[in-house]
Amino acid sequence: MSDYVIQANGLTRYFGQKCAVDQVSFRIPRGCIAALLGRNGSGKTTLMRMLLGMLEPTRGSSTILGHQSLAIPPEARGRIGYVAEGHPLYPWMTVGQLAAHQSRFYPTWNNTVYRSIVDHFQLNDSTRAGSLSRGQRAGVALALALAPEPELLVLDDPSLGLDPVARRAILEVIINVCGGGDRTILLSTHEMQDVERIADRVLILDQSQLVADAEKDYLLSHVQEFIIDNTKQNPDIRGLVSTRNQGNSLHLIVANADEAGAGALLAAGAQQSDVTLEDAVIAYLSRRGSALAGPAGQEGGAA
Amino acid sequence: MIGAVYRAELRANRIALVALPVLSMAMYGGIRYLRHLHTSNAYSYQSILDDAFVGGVFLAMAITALGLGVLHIARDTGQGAWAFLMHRPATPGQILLGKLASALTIYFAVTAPPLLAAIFWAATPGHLPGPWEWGMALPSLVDLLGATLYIVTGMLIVLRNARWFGTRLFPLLVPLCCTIAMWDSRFVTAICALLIGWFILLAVTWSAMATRDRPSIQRWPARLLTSIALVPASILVPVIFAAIIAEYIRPATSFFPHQLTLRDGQLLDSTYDAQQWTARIIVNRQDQVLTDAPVLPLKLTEQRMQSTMLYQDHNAWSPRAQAPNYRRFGHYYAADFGSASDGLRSWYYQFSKRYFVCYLKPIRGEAFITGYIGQNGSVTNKARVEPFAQGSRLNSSTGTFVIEPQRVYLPTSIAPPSGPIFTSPAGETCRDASYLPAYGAKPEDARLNYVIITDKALYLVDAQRIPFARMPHPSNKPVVTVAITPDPDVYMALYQNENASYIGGASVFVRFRADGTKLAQIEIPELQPPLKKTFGNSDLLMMALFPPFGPLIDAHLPPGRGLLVLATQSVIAALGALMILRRARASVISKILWVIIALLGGVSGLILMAGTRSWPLLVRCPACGKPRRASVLQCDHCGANFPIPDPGPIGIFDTTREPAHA
Repeated sequence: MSDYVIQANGLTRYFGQKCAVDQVSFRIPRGCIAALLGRNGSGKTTLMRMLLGMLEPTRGSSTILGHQSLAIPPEARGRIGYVAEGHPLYPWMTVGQLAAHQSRFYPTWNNTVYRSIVDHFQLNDSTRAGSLSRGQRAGVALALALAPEPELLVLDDPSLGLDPVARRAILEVIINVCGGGDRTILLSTHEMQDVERIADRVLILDQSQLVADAEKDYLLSHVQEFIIDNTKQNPDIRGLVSTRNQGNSLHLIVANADEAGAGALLAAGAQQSDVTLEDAVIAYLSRRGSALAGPAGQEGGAA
Repeated sequence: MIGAVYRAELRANRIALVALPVLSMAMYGGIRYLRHLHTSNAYSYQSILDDAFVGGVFLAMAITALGLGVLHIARDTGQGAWAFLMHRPATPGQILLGKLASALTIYFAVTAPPLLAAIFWAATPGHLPGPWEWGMALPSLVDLLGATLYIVTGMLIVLRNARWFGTRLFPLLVPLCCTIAMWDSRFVTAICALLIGWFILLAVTWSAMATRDRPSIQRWPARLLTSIALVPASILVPVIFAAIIAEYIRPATSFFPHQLTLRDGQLLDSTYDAQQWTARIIVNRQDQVLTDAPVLPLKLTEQRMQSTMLYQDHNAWSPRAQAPNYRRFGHYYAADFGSASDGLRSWYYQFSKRYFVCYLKPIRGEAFITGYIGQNGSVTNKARVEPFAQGSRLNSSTGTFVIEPQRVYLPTSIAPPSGPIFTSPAGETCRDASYLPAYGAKPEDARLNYVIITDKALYLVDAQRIPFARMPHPSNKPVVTVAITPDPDVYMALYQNENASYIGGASVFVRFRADGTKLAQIEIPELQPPLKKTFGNSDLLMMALFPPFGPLIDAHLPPGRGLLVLATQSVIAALGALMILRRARASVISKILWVIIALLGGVSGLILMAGTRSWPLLVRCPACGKPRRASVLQCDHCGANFPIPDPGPIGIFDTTREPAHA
């Protein structure tokens, strides 16, 4: 079996004339927790739906657990846990009935896992799903996805719209249930703290294109911040991701800064500092189209 | 897996059980309607075979079924809900079957009890006049099964990616076509239509379920079946709109005026249209013949359709259509004895062996019975008689039904030489045909309803027991008079067999009063040829859209003009197909195939192509600026690949990026 649980090769999807995902290629190895980051409308959900065979790509292909995404057999689907955006459940079923219903489909159903997650959210079996709060619904959806003990877990923004407590609870479940094993997780989220805490790998989608695909540490080691005092003019530097004025100083986020560029900045009196993952990702996501719209090789930047 | 889906769906949709009391109330209303029938309409009769009752029952079932189908899918159509439903270790087919099983269970739970109750009510003596056979329940039971097509149609409608005000409802034409095919057909035909409908709809629905109605990833048989399911509506809907507009622009003359025109007792013209066939002449109590005689709103029945077709076949594209004397061409027509049988299902009679056929061949004023079907098995073709509709009366004091003897009066010139003879005010000697048992009929012949007399023989048709007796005719005179007096209060004493007058058989209409006195007699020497049809815009449209059937739609279109229309629309359709296929970069084989289909099928072929082929998305090529297929990496025009997005120096990748086309 391949070491890569997910492989995407040139996945492209158009909705009419609009390109929602543009030739995205990446691979996720077994046991990896990968965070898929991007702004709303950047193509995260579309990409996930294509990977799971729920949407056919306009061009390109992908495999998941060794199967073509558009032809995932039921057996393989049973090894993939999926929490869709919005945590859909049957509202007329109770928490207990949902488990009973889903368990009939999965030969590997682990009711202990389900119970532990449901208890974590302090849910009663007789509560109807329709009357659950958003956080509780997210918990049940996660429990339903994890109870079959899937090899791969695909979570589409599981903490969307949740309060900090519920978000923390979701995160704890993911860490507790999935941590330490060889379970692979593909997680789409906007919560950078969650990503910093659990993700091994980061993929950043910006305006339908993949702009970063790297181990978390690798990514952080390639992004640096330079602070130049008493200036508001953007310097001409290769790899400039974003700029931000703060008081009299100019903050520059630079990716893949080469020695010449960094040296010039330092020579101009700039101070260099490391960035957090959140700062780096926000710098990427706050860019606007000029960098990507230009021909290949053109220097990117927000200037 | 199917069981799990089934139980969940059953639970989710149990609200639909509220249809049970609603349908029960509706059925109660239907029964009340049946009981009211006989008093409100002299030509109606109380039977669960009544058209309005059967139609109403079917409509209620179809609406229920459609609603159930929609209900079973609609709640899962949200993006997340769909993912929750489909992302599980089960095939789409298993999920669909679970949903279908649930819908069918609820459907039968809410429709079968009231229907069965109505059937048992009708079967109970004292409730409805007339004899009862269990076979009479078959039409409604077949409707019960037939309406299940609407369940899967409802599912398909919701599954389709189309606008509600666009083509989303188009699949409805499939069950509608099947319903039409089942409505007035034999039992075997009805079951075949049901099975064909299920096959098409189930395959298309399954395909839509498995692919979320994405034609681009469906296999071609699925796309073909989808097209077949959508083509009828794709054609019909524009045709209806276009025809309405066309008729506003230039109203077309109707095929034939459908009235009897009487002047001074002479039938000057007699015509028909498909729905309303001339059936009778009415005189009032002052012995005056009513001009513009009303036409019975009869439904098109199978044998009438057949005679229509025969008529058209004889006249289509033929200069004989212009000939003044239609008698020469020996048209056959079906004689449907007893108009009360109209609209009933022939297969009921097929099933119960209670039918017979009598084809009349009027040539030069003579009428011959050329064939019939009866329990004795001599078979030619189909027609039917309603054996028990008339003459039944409810005895309100006892609550029982009495089948009263029907009095049939015949002039002595054609009646058998026995029985009481009386003289009519007109001076003609008549004989009461209720004494016909003297000619070998059985005692039950008091219920005799129909007498058919030809120049060769006299036929007695026992309305209660279909086999009829044949006996020698005492007279050698050619007579085509059928005398029926079902109701003494109705002055009309004769039913003229539909289109007999039109076809040209010289007929004699003799009317009697209930007391046996002769009221009037009209001899129809010769009929005028029918009005020449004016070709309408809607006819042109129909011909354009249905090239293979064009000649049948209008028999009077001059051949040259018709062929021109056919050829023009075929060429236009083929050119359209070629243009589309070129733009879509179709293969040469595909081009040839579809151009041939468009040539043969015209616009309908073009629509079939549009539905069956998957259409590529075209986007602007970044290299040459021309439209190129988005699904193919290489441009059709300049050969350039889509450029791989490169974030440039800001991109961070810890692995070697593989090109998208690798």
